This record gives sequence, C-alpha cells and structure tokens, in this order.
Amino acid sequence: MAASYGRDRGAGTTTLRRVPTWAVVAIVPVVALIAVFVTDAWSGNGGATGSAATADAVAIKNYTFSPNPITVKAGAPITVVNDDNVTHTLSANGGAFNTGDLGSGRRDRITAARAGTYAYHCEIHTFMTGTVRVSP
Amino acid sequence: MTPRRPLLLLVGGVSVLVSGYVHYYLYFKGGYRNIAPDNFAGLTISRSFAINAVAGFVIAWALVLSLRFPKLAVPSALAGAGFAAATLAAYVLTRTVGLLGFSDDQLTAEAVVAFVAELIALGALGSWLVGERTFLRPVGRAA
Repeated sequence: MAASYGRDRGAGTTTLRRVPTWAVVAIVPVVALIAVFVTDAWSGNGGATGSAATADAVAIKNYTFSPNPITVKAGAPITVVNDDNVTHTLSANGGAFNTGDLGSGRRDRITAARAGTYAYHCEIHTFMTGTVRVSP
Repeated sequence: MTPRRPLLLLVGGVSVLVSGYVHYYLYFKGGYRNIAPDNFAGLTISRSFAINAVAGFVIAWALVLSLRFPKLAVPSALAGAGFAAATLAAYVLTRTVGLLGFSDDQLTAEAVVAFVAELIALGALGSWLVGERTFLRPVGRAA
C-alpha cells in the first residue's frame, strides 16, 4: 500500500511538510473547542423562553409546548408564541382551535369557548402534543 | 510522508467537521435535544444528532491527521465518505418518509449548510478514494 506514497507529489505536499506535527494533531480539536465556546457565547444558554410567562400563553420552544398542560377559563384567549426557528401549528385534535402555520417568532391567539379538555398537536411535527384544560 | 492529493483529504475533513458542527449546534442550541417520537434499539432522532456531531469531529480529526500519518488516509477517507453519504441519506429521509418518527420539509439555514458540506465531503473524499483505488487491491495485483 505505502509503496505509492511519495510519488506524484505536488507543491501542496511540500507546503504541508513544513507544518509541524503538533500543529497537525492540534488543529481540529482547537477549532472544535473555539466553535463550541463561540456558539455558547453567541447563542446564550438555550434555555427556557420568557415570552410565555403568563398563564394564558403557550410557548413553542425546542419542539415542545410549554406550559403543558395549560388551564384557562372558557372563552379566555390563549396566546401562542413560536420561539423555534421553524414553523409550527397548535391545532386541536377535534378542530376546536387552530393557529394555522405559525412561523418563527410569530404569535397567534386561540380560544376554547366551552369547558373541557382539549388535546392538541402540531400539524407539521405530529409528535408534538399538548393539552388545554378549559374550566367553566 | 504525506498522502497524494492531500488537498482533497483536507477539504473532506473540513466539510465533515462543518457537518458535525451543524449537528452539534442543532442538538444543543437548535431544539433537537429532546425529540424522540420513535426509538430504534435506543437510537432516537436526538441521539442521532449527538452521534453525528461526535463522529464528525473524530473523522475530521483522523482526516487531518492522515496528512501526516498516511496509514490513516484510506480508512478515514472511507469513514468520511460513509459519514457524508449516511448523513445525506438521513436528511433525505427526514424530508420525505421520515426517520425515527421525525419528518420536516422546512428548509433552514442550518440544513443548507450541512447539506452542502456533506455534498462537498462526499465529492472530495469520493474523488480521493477513486484516485487511490489501487491501494484497495491486494498487493500482488496492484498496478
């Protein structure tokens, strides 16, 4: 196998031979470490959003509805905020409410007029589910 | 010693590292950490992102090391090409029939960067392997 190494070497090979071995060994870990630290500093802790702090709001973040379940009074509007960088929906399984496509950073309001328990999901990412409990 | 056409290995290594970084970013910062609609032998879509990130780092490191240690060149190029092909195939599945219960046809900047990086990695490492294919034959039959 190694017999062919050393033939057909071009100018690039000569340049590479000037790079010290320790630099060749260290360059990828160093670049990766820098990328990790820069990413961490640039994007914060990636934790919970504060945009749905009130009890009548649902935040969509990291492909999760929060809080879940949420309890509201009948007829009270629920603000839905999409904090992910992809589009989601919040759609009642029975069709009682539906935000439709909610792009990144967008918000909408839904209302459940009657008391009961409503299961909902994201129509785009069907594994995302949640529950709204509506009290009289 | 340095393997022939080291630039292709270097380009492949950088591209694999970029792909691994994008998956690292999506796992820790992009919301893919807790997505597990389906589980196959312990593998979820979230864990596949973490595995991709670690594998991308290790393979990229091996590819760069192969510039100084030529015995690493063929295995790391094979691993890099396989990594890129598998990641591309997984991406296509998530945009079509779904993978591990996850599907999404939305185009994001992260997806474009990773997709392009994987295409470049596959092209560079595939070209390098095709050029070095005599190394893969038994010694007695090598040209």
